[in-house]
This record gives sequence, C-alpha cells and structure tokens, in this order.
Amino acid sequence: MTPNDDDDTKVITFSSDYPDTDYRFLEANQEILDQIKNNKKLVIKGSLTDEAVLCTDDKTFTIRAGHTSNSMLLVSKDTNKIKVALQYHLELTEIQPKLNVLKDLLYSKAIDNSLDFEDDENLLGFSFDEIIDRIQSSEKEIQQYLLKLNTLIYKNRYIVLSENYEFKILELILSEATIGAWKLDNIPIDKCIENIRAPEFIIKHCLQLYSKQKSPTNSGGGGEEIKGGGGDDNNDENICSLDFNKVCIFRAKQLLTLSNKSNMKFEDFMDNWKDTLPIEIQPNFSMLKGIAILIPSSSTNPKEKSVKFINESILPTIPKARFKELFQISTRWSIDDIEPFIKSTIPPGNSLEQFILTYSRPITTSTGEKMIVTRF
Amino acid sequence: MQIFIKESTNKKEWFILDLQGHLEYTGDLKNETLGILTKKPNTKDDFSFQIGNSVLVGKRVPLKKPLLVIKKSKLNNNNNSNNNNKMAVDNKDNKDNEKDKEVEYSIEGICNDKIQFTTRPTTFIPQSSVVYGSPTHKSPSSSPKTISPVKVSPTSSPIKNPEFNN
Repeated sequence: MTPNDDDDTKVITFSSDYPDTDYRFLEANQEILDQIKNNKKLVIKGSLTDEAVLCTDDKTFTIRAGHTSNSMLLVSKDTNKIKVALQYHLELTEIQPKLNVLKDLLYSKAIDNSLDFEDDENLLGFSFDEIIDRIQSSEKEIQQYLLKLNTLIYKNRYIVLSENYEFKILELILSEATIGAWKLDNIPIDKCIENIRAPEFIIKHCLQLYSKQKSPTNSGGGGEEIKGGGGDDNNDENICSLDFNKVCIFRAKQLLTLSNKSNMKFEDFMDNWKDTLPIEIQPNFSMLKGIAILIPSSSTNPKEKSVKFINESILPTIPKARFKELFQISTRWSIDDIEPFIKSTIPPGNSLEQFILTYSRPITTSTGEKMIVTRF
Repeated sequence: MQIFIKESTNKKEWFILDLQGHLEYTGDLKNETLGILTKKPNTKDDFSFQIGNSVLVGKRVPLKKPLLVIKKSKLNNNNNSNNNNKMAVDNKDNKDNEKDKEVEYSIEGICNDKIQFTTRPTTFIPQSSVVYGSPTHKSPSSSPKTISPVKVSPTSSPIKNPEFNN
C-alpha cells in the first residue's frame, strides 16, 4: 500500500552540508532552562588540559559525553533535512566549584613587602575579568571565595597579602601595643599608622582582619576600593578592638609553621603559645579546630600527645585521596575533628555522615567514644 | 578560557530520529534522500519510516531531560576591539595559538521528545500483476537509487539479494 500523500508524510533528505559537525546536543536540566529563560550567562570554562565545566550564575557543572549505540538524527522541521547524526550527548553533573586554583593563582602574586606598591610598572594581583576567565567556577562562587580569602582591591585589582607579610604587619601591631601599653581591645588606629612603616590601607586591612568587627571591608564584583590616601572614611571611631581568638590562632600558626619539621609536644606547645601572647589572653586548644590536631607522639605512652599542624588548603581535592592522607596523619579521628578538613569536598546533595561513611568505618573505643578509621 | 553559550537570534525547530545502530555509507550523502517519514493516521505518536525497501515502526517518546541543540561558531578576533584588548592581556601570560579565534555556541533550538524506532524493520515489497514463473515474467527493473538500510545487528540474515537465472 502506498503511504498516504498528506501533510503527515515527509521526505527526509540529508542537508547540503551534511554532516555539520558543529552541532551538539546539550542536556538541559531545570537550572539551565531557567538561565536561558532569563537571558542569563552560560559559560563553558577550561584550559586545554582541564576537564570542561559549564557555569551558570551561581553553579558549576561538569560536562561529560554520554554515548549511545543508537544514532540520533537531527532533522529540521522546516526543511526535513538531516543536519547531523550523533551517537552522544553532553551530560551535566553539578560539582563543587574548583576554587583551590583561585587561591594558588592569587598567592602566586601575593604581596610580600611594602616595596611592591612603589613599582608602578608591575601590575599587582589580578582583575576580576582575569579571574573569571581562568577559574572554573561561576561568578557568584568566585565572589564568595574572594571574600573568604580576605582579598584587597587595589587599583581595581584583587590582591592578597602573603602569610609572611600579614604576620609581619600583625607582629608590628602587637609590638606597638606592647610599647604603647595599649589594651588589645583598645588599639588607636592613628598611632598604628604613624608608627608602622607600611601603607596605611594595609595596616587598616590587617586590623580589620583581626578585629571583632564582622562586616567585611571588601565586597566582591563591584567591590569597594580601598584608597591608600584616604582618611577616616571607613572608621567613624578611631579605635580598633582585636579579636583574642584570632590573635591566638595567629600565634599558634606562627609556632607550628616554624617548627614544621618535627611535631611539638603538647605541653611545650602550650607553654610557648602562652609566652608569645599578652598576659590577658588565655589560649585554649579548641581554638585550633580545623588547623591542628593532637596525635600520640609515641607508641609506648598513649597519653603523651603531640600537636600536628595540618594545612587544609594543600590536602588533595579528591575525596578518596584526602581521606587517605588524613588517615596517614592519624589512624583514627572523631567526626568533630575531621569535619573541618573534609567539608569542602562534600558533593552537593550528600550529608556529612553519608560522605564520611563512604570512605571510612565507624568504631567505638574502649572508653565508649565514637571514632572513624580507614575503610581501605 | 571561556566559551559562551548564547541564545541564537536564528531560532529553529528540530526533531530527532532515534535509529538503532549507525548509518553505513560510501561516498557523499549531501542532498541524498534517506527515506519517507509518515505519521500514522488517527494516532498521536506512531510513525513509520521507509528507507528503501525497509519499513521502520516508531513512536514519539518524551526525553527525560530536554536536549539543547547548540552550534559551534568561531568569532574572528579582528572584528572585536574588546577582544583585542583582552587578548593583549592574555598574551602576556601565555602564548597560545589556539586563542587566535574565539569559539562560542549558539542555542538554536530545544527538543523535548524524539521519534524512537526500536523494532526490527520489515520489508516492503511493491505488488506486481505478473504471476511468478509465468512466461511473461521478467526480472524486476533496478530499483531507484537509495541508501542502504540501517544495519540492525551483525547477525542479520546471511542471504543477500537472491538471484534467479530463469
């Protein structure tokens, strides 16, 4: 029987430019459809050696090709011509943004001393456009991370202070406090600026970092620029109140990074820690959660403990490798202790307990305490 | 490096034919006819697709997630001064010839369903008024030029084009 000759019959032909290899199928989830509907930005990011990601305003998706044994012919409804036959489409999976690269990028140009500001030919830091171009994350995620990294905006560019420089400035501030007999919750800003040989906005930035005020000076994107020659625009009061916790953490990091080659015994560490702090500050080891842990220093005496400094930012980003390294540092962990070190690697949608049990096993010690040990 | 996905000003409508296996052909397929797609009367989703002597029966099925049809295009760098400034900055950091032309994708349409052919094809034989074997029977004239049918499985019938020497 001859097929009906009506509008429902189409003669399917190949187009004159078949196969047009520029076409792709991109799977669209609800977030992607919303972006398109609102005429917002969709960007594929990655360098030649990276795995490509797709970024919306506030989320990051990895792109993978999903292959099939079938052939999908893309046919135009207007002309009934086949443009291309594909056996794959691009699938999207939401991931945590890849932001450690941003930290490495900024710290590769970290400010190390005050002389960096005097050389006008040398561009300091990175502009926001440069950061967006290189980092495989959405703009909003980048902005949040820039806030978290305590970046400064100097001449429309984002800069960070190296840890050495930051410690140096804070050291000078604390020295001035000792010399001037100031209380740490009553630091006169003007006198700091007078006596410390460093740019004014750097001093203000460091005071801001270690003060009790919660509102950040910088905001990402269209951020507020700190001008070096400014007066008291950012501070109605000329008094700064240092946060004791932050000062303690600063001193502890100093001690632990200086003695990086060997573990420091807990008692020695606490003594040295107290000695470096003003009299009115009493340090507590719980302040160092997420920075250092206590581990047994010898197998003969389990009560003897050492302080182990862990730099979370240099741990592997792959969860399995990170857990492996953490269990090499200490064979058993409490959930409270391990959480700060793995929180940044939890995939969206997973809970903390689910994630921990994927890579470790729970045990109960003889004292009834719940711990986790390696699964592999 | 960033590749932007933008909405195209030239939106089109597409549909997808999902065939089992893959097309095998020699030579150029441009402007050739693949087959005739017919919507069966009195049904919403049923289709038949005739490729040469083979008839495929298919059905329109919704996709779990819509598929965007995106097309890659290359922007010539010289036409955009903004890109020139940006490239000048980038070239200081790395000299990558790949960035001579920037790439972007246009969203040319969206497909929410496809016509899926999952069953084995049947053979379509045109009727003839000549009785087989009669003195007036002649070999059928060569069929019009068509593309080979879709290869369904490697274990298809080994009999190929039987020939009669009457």
